Amino acid sequence: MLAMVQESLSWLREWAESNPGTFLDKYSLVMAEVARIEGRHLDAIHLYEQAVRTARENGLVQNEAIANELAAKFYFSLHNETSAYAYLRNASYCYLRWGAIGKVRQLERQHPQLKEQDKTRGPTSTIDAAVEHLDLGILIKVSQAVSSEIVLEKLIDTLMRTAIEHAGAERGLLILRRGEQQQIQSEATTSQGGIVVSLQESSISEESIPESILLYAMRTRENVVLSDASVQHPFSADPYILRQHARSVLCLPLINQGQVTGLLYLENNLAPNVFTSSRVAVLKMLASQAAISLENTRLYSDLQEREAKIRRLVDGNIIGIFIWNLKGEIIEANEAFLQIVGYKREDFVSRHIGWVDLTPPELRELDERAIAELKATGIAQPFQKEYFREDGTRVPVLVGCALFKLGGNEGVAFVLDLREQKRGEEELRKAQTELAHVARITTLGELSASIAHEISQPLGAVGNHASACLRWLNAQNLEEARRSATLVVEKVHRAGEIISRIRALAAKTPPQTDWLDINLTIGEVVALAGSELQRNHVSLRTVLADDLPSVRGDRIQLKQVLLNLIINAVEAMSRKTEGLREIQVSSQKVTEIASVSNESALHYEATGQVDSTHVLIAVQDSGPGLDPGRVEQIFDAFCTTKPQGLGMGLAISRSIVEAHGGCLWASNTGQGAVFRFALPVRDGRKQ
Amino acid sequence: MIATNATVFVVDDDAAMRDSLRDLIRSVGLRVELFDSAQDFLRSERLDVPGCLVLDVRMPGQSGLDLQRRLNEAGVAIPIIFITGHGDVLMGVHAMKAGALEFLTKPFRDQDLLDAIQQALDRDCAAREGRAATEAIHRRFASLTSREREVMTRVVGGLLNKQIAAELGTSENTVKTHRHQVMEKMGAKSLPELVRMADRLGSLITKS
Repeated sequence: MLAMVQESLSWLREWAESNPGTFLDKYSLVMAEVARIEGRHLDAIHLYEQAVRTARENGLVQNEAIANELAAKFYFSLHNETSAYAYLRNASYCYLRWGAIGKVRQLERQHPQLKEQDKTRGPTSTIDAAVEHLDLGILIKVSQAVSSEIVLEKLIDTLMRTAIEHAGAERGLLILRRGEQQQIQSEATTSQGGIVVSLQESSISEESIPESILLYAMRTRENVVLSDASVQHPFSADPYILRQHARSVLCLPLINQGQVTGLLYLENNLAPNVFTSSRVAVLKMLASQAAISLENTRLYSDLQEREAKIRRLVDGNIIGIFIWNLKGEIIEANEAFLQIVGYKREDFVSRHIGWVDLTPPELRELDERAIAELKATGIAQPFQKEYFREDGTRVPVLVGCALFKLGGNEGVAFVLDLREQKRGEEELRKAQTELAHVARITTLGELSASIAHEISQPLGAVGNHASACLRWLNAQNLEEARRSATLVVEKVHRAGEIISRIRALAAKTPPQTDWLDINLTIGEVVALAGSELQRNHVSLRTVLADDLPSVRGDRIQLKQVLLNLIINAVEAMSRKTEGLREIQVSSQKVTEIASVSNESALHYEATGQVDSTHVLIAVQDSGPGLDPGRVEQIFDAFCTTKPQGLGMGLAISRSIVEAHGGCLWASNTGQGAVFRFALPVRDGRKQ
Repeated sequence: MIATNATVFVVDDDAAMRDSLRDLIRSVGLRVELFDSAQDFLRSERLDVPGCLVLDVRMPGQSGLDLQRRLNEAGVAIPIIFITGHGDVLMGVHAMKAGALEFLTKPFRDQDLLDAIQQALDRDCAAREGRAATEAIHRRFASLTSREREVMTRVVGGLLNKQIAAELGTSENTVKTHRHQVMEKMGAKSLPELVRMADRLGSLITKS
């Protein structure tokens, strides 16, 4: 049998001579075993040592382990226990590095002294620590250290210190993913004074790190451990390794929820085999713990950043912002909102002023609508409303709201001050109104001036001839008097002709008649008067019968009548300081029960029957009412109760209604004035 | 008292108004001449008789105000009564400032116009009389010799005969003779009357 060994040995010797890096350790070990069997104890001692050394030098940790174990057995056989335990310890260490934990446990079972001896060496070093030791002590310490940090900078510092300290590294880098790029987040180095951790961010370069190792670790998500980078290995060509003569290198991907979130890179350029499997095991735990913590801290810092942005949004005070709940309270408000409503922040707390209190009672409905929208969709589209200010005045605003979460009862509101805008609108409207008024007066003024001129010329002439006639008569000059009187007659005729010419001119634009639904017309006019009503704080109510027959008439002219009556009502109430300003526009079917010659409400009676003759429209206000002695006069042209009035509106309105075969009259109701007009259902146009 | 030959000139573009004004004015016994435009009036050859102008403000072509300005520029002093269909206050102010006598808005009362015409004619007669008297004084003054004018200037200046003689380098008696001649030729019955005449001569006398 020994002869067979001798034959194999000769092959092995040849290989060991040509490739000592791979085979010298094995050849030495076999030679040592041969020497032991042959009883050449001195040779065996020497050869075992050679096998161990060459295996270690070439990074063949498993061979180093076996060599040590066999050497230990040899010493046990010689009863040299000191040497035996020394080799056994080394063997156990090598198996541990190799990851053969079962083998380590087996050795420890066979040689309990080995374990006891380790314990006495204390917990400061991991190098010879038993596997059970590593599992708990360090892991607990590390995970506690790492997970207790929530601030990113502190976490990185702790992580780097722990990694360097427990792995025995010289230099360490933490690389984290920033979007698509990997960036060096932190660098830790050991020096005389201890571990220095710097938090400078820098990009990855071949100056600072072996990129090939980095990329490999990232791609494969596997740990890369080089126990001695100075010898041949797959990454030997890396420029960094070549330049730095790195020896022990470890690169751990940090994996969180299946994603590579970063890398932990450690190196030791002084000693090989620093990063043993036990250390790697700890570091792996550390790395995964760190990945989670880093992600959490990143979320936390993102949160802080977002919080800062939101704070900026609120404190920028460009628009009013407040946080509210559905109970009606204002929980928080920014300066801009406080300025809009004129309250102090503490008023919302100490005086229990809520958004409900800020809303004028008649606008609560708008709020209720917004709340319904909020409950349904989580947001309320911006809408216009008014708030009460602290001084009791009102401020027009645009408000939009959002619930923090659907179904919740807290939310945020954005408030835009519309005062400036409203003022602009108001001025524009005033200017428009004035312009319209001026235009109306100008047109009417010019028209009447030209009519007056046309009429006054012949009228003046008539006066002159008549005066002359009287004087001729006084002077008994009958001839001249007759001539003057003839001229009077002639000129009067001429004036008459002018008047009929003007009438003919007006008759050139006959009313455009149409069948129309008077309720629709009322609706259009109410919309038209909307801004005027709002500006004067007048509320308008319509009470319209829904079974009205169509009337035949000129839509534009009837609109003019309705608008005229509504505007008159608004103006009648404009000086009213107390009580409601209310207009009611109503329509109903009526039947004419007598002649309309004496225009009066008494001549119509409400009817539900089909044969109603007229549609009656009433515009009723809550103003001071009409002067009882002047109720009929107000329909005369140029009769006006308004300082700026022309006194034409009612006169024109009445003539329009009469041209439609209807009549228009006014009366007092006790609470104000009412203007009514009746239009015939069938074509009642006077021919 | 109005001269019988006093004439009212009416300028109005409206024929009816024009005719009725003639009727009215004639009925109080005044003479009337009608013109249908400012140009028509300016072109006409009018008798130099007392009169006044009844002028419509608004007319096509030259307005009544234009005509007033041109008459002022030409030194024609005829009282003007404006009539207008448009009660334009600003226009009235302009017209009155430029020397109009009255500004009537149509329709006016016949008596207001007739009163204004009466007043205008009175004023024109008075002005004419004044102008005639001044012209007579001018004629008389022109008939004086240069020595007599020198004496007259100093007499109305308040100098005594003795002082005048010294100033002109002549005897007091010679001055007395000239002074007598002056009173005679000017037709002045007293020294104050001579002084008043000198006033109407104005700058003419101080030049001599």
